[in-house]
Amino acid sequence: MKNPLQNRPASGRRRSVAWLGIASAAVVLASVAACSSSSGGGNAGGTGTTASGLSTIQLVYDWPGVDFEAVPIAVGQKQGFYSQHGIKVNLVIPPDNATTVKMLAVGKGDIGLDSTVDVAFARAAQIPITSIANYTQENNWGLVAKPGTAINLSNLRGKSIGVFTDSWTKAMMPYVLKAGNVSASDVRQIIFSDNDLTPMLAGKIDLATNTTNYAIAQVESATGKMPSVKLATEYGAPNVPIWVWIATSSWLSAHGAQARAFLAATKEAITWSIAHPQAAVNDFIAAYPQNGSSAKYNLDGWLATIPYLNDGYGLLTQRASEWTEVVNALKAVKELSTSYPASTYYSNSYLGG
Amino acid sequence: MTDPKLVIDDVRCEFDGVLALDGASLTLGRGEFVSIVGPSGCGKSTLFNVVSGLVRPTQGRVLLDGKDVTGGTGHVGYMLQKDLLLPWRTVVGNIVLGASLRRGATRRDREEAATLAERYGLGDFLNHYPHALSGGMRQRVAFMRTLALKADVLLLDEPFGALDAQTRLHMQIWLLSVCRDLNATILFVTHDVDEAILLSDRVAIMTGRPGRIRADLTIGLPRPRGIDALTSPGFNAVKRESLALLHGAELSPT
Amino acid sequence: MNARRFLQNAQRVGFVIAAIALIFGVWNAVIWMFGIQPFVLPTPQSAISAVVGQWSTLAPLTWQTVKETAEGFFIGAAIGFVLAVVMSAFRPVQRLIYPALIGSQAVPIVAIAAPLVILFGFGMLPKLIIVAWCVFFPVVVSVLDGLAHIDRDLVNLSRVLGARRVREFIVIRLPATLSPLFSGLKIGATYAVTGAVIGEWTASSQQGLGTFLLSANSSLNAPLVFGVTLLLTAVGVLSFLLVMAVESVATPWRSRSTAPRTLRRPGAGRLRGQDSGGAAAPGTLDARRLASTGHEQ
Repeated sequence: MKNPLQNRPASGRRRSVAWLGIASAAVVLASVAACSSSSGGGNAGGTGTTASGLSTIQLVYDWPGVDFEAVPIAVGQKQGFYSQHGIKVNLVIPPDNATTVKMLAVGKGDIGLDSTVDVAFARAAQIPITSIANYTQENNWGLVAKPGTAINLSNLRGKSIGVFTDSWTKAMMPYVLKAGNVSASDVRQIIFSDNDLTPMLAGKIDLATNTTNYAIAQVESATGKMPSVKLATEYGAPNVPIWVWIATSSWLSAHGAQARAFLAATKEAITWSIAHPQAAVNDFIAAYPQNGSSAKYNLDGWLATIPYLNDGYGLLTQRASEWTEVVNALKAVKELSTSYPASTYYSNSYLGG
Repeated sequence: MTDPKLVIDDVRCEFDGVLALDGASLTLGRGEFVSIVGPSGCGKSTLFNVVSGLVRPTQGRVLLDGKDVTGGTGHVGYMLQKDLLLPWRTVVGNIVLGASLRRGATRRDREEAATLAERYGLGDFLNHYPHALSGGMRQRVAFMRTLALKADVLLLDEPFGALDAQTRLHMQIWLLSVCRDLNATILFVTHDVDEAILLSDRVAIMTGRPGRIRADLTIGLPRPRGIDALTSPGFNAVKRESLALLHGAELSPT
Repeated sequence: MNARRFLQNAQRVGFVIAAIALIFGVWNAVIWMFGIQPFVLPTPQSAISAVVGQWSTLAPLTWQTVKETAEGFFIGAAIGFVLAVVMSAFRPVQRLIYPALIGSQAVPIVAIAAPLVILFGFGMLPKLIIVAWCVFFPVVVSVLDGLAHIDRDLVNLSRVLGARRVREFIVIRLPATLSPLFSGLKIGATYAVTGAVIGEWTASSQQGLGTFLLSANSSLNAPLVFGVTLLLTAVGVLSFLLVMAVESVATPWRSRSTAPRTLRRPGAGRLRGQDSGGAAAPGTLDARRLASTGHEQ
């Protein structure tokens, strides 16, 4: 019969060893996951060749859901622009709105669509990303309110504003706050992962933030009317392109020809889509039925995007001044610590192929 | 017997078509120590449950001081093989359990419990938890819990069955000395003939299922008894008689 | 005796520190061996220094997330406990709602988060609901099991002792739930932080560590992201340890031989000496046995 007085409870020694085991297992798992994604970094990618001799390009989208900004991509695939230039484009959807750069950097993608601000952040984090072309050419981000509602910047205190967690929103919000002469704690920024326009229309929040093409598409589909918008450029934000096409410098040095082919074909696809918006949208819906939106929404959205594609300097063409403004804007709101000369962020040499 | 303390009157118990007890009768006088001995499954525990009020018999009565208490609880003290001490209560806390369950334990109850514990050798363990005590000590606490109820009749169902032989013997001797002080009427259930003979004034032999009291043996050994009673000649005589009654024709050589 | 306790505790702390150092060592080794780039997996040092560097920003956010976790935890624990007691007392209720409770856990939290926000807005309430959702189920299951496994003989004993139903519940059933309750609470504590973060991710007006995590992610600031993750892990671990500490105070019989001073009731005792030996009744075997082992407070 054991002496119960010798029955001591389990000591901390066993507990620590258990922690050690579990934590080591977790690190091992993490490293295995990291290994499988880091294949020596940079250029192995998915670039391969199809049976018909076309080179495959993995194109990583900017947002975790395909939408009407991918219309030219669908057109390029369906109308044969890409195959005519010897390439096949696979659209890859990232897991969230901040991973496109990382996927390119570890070789899970070849070319990406992302924001100019993400390029600046990537370079600051020592990731060698180059912007090879503009997509939209102007800053169409702003505050959005219900149709017919005036947006009064002097009245921001205490208002609820829907925001997203992407870098563009983060770069633009300080301009909003500054224009309204309020600090971040004076307003209620409500973070959404997916859609802040529907809550705004439902009256759950006072204002939404978004770009006009998405705002118009959403609000028109829902109410039949145009939303009330106040563009950030009206109150001090720089008028710089939001979306650009990007790739890592190592991939570009190995696949420059494919980059050129992609941009040339995409340019043709964009031109075609501008000329035949309805047909273009139909191609998009057929190629990407998972977009989850109505045909009207997609058409409204594409039509609202068209005005921003050419700022007079030519489709896709970049200028150094744009990059200077992006970098300066970020530094002014203390979001960027390390910056480089504007010319190092982009290259136009893959255009006009 | 004039003025008996506890009367078990022709109790029949049937559950689910099984007849557990078939007309068991037994009478206990004031201050008597009576053991019930029988083979496993003979219904000892059922009889026990009937007397304590947990089970209502199909037929028959239980009388305490002449009053019918069949099926009623709270009249007797009760102790099992398991000590059933609450692990979250100290020794004192467990002793006052009866009071706690009835109306709440008072300071007075606890003081009496402490005195009880000291008297029976656990005065240094008043604030110990049960897990820190040995098996024998725990059973003593259980016994004190039973005593604290101040009931005149105590039912003890194989209380030392889970203890090793040495401890069991010590507990038996301890019980003998304790009973000298109390004037309780005790009904003791066991399968151990030696134990029954050592402790009791009378031993009732029960048959196998369905259980009846087959025989009632008076133990003539003188009190006060100690450990030497176990090896006295009188003991063996009684034991021979008991074993014959218990196992009868089955075990005698033919 | 104090010196021995101190050494024991120092040994435990030493082990924990060594464990953490080992993890960090392996972490660094893996990065070095496989050439993992910093924006995929930063070193633990960079993660920690990122957090330390931004501590003035992170402190109020941490407090917000801790508040959500703690409040949701208590709500979930209370609900779970009450549900378990009610289900244990009324069988038909148990048969009715237990399957629903089990089903509730199968629903992915991220799916319910959005409707909760639509219903209850962007404040604390949906987050508390989510945290409570994560916490209440382990509590229900453990307390219900605890109540179901109360010794039948103990219940019989209480009946024989003449107990009234209510007192039986208070004296015998309720205390029997304490140990299983803490088992459930320990599990709930580790999930509560995750619940709070998911609640913040869905839609949030207050800034907490979860929302900050999203923001740091969009700046491609991997050290900060991992640092905040470590911080959240620490919050979860500390919650667990806190529950363990409360458990040892609330259930002293699990780790002590004698009741602590504060729990001793009046009348319980003129104690004659706390140390070994002790004047048990002479001649009893137990006294001799006790004298040789000694016992502690």
